[in-house]
Amino acid sequence: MSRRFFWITLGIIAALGFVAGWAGYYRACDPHLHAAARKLDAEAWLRLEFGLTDGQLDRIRTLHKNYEAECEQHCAAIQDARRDLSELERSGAAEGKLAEQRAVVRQRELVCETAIAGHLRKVAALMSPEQGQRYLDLLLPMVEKFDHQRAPDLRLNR
Amino acid sequence: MTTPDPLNPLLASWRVEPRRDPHFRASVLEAIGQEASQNFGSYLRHHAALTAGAAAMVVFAAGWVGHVQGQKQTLRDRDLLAQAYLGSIDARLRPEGMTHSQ
Repeated sequence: MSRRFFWITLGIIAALGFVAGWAGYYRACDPHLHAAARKLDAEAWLRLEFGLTDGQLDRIRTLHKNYEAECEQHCAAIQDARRDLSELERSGAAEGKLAEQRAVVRQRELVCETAIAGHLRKVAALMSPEQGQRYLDLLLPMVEKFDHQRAPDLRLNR
Repeated sequence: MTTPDPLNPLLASWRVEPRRDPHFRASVLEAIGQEASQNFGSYLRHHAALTAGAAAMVVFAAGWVGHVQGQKQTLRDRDLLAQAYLGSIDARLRPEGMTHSQ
């Protein structure tokens, strides 16, 4: 009988532990942020993370839309340069030519990086000063740390 | 002629004289009665300190672990979203052939 009561007591303590663990996790985890992450909803993240009003979000949306054309130009220029570099590598071009083309790729990426930094600053200016600074502190280092040796994908290296 | 075994007289003279316990019978009956009537409530009362201590430790440890995991999840979510946001505006991150609208 005592052994049975021991296991019942242990079961109750384990259940209490499970509830406590779940409660601790739920309190610390932001459910709205998590929902946005599951959908990769960057706009929802912006609103939640920086406490944006509808007006601020609308203006930022407009800014992003206006930046699209410039972004497309940078995209096309970088892709062209990378394509040329790939062709040169495939054709076994001289090292000097390759170095020259790599410099072209890098230069266009730098132009893009400068443009992005400028765009981020414009977006930050639409937020409150404190949130704008947080925005820049978070995103500018990610832009600067981009590793140009890696193939481009959605995940920036750390 | 064999010598007599000294063990036999020794064993014959040996007497066990236990001390008399006037409460022996009563304590046996009490122990039997306790076993029969024990329920979960009385079990818990009997082990209250140990149970409460173990429960408090488990709840504290599990709550703390859950809290830490929740914080880590928030950081992962924030990181993923920041990267997704930057990916939408950083032309360097776009695979070859993909346009901004894709």
